[in-house]
Amino acid sequence: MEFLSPRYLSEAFEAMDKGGRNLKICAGMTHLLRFYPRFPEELTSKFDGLMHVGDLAALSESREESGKYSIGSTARISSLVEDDYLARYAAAVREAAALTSTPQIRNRRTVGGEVAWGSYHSPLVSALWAMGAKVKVRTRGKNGSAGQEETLDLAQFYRGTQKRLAAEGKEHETRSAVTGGQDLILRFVLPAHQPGQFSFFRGLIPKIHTENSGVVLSVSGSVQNNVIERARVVASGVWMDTMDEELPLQAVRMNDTYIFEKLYTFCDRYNFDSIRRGGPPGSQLGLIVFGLLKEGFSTLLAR
Amino acid sequence: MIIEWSLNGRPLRSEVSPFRKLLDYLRQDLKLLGAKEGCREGKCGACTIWIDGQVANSCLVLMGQLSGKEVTTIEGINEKDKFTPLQESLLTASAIECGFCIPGMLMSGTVLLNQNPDPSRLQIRETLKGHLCACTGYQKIIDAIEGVGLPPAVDGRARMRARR
Repeated sequence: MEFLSPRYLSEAFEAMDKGGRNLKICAGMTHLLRFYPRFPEELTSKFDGLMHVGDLAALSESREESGKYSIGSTARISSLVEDDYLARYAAAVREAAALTSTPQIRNRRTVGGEVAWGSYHSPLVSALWAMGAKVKVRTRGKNGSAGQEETLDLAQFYRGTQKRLAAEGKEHETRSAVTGGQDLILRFVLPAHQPGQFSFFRGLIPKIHTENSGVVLSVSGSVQNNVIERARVVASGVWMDTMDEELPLQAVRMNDTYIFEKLYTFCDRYNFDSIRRGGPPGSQLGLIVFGLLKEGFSTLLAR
Repeated sequence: MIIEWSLNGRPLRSEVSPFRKLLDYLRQDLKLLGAKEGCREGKCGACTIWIDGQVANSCLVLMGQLSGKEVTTIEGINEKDKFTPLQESLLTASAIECGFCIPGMLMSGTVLLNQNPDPSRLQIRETLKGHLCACTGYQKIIDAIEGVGLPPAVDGRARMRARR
């Protein structure tokens, strides 16, 4: 099997479009090597080669572009933790990055890899989704033609669930991405920051890092004159599928404890059994989600 | 494939399969046994090394990813016949039990101390999140990292700080 390590983005595009061979694209490889101990022999789908894009400078930088914030797909997760823009304007993404796996993994894993793998318990996926991030993808060229660039909402980037199988009967259910292993994720674009915008991340983070989070949750919204205009929650985890809902907090004052009544009623009425994947029953999942929302909004109110 | 990289400050040209894991190459080919082989899944942290000064699990890195990178193993952080302050602190705090996890802990602890010479216990715990100690000797290891900023041991008194 071939191993390609292009130095420039143009070299990577050229290799992708060259017909007659299947290249699997990889960057940090922490998911692949962790899940497939006998990589690459163990991969269920066969490839002619591996293209390592983890060191492409063009994809690793994050920058402001006409008001929007663009995060390179091969930016390491640890770099998001230290990002000033995210700390100021996209707290959910920064908090989610800080709570992803271990320091060793955060230094190697890329944002693109985290999103492409699509774990339900991924803090970063829930945060980017709640913030309304868009994904820029370059598909592989077919029949000698150049590939196309597409921009998708993160919500459109996934279609259902896939089961990944590895040695010794190990299996892992993740979200299934619309792109394949031969398409290259270029960037994630966060919408332009608006005055009064807020966001936070909360998760049921296990004390032992070898366990995954039962529930992770991100909220983004906006406040004008101390009145909530809108608030969106995206929650998922080992115990539940993705929940993407508008919270019924429109026109509620930000300093009003009525927020918590509204949140409790919302969680009480939501049908968590329909998205439950394991762990506690739906009613308890509702209480967990309420607890995380309450903690997040309490911190916001305290500010 | 020929990989040009640097190991413990020395430039190397290694003819090796790009799919070979760094941990295997270090231990089996170069006989550098400081990075330990534990879970091979990036969970125990026993194989922790530095890549360009940042901690990483050598069991989750392929040789093909190392072109132009600077790798440091625990063998590379010692001065000859001299302990680093953290090594000395680990000894004086009696923080080493079976010792299997210590090379990894030492690599992570050293990076933390380089960035922040007086870390809080919470920061130390967060830094050690990617390490497992089967002897459960975490408290003494945390004490030892915290104690590096204190004056050297005198008259057998260990570098220990009163619990905050």
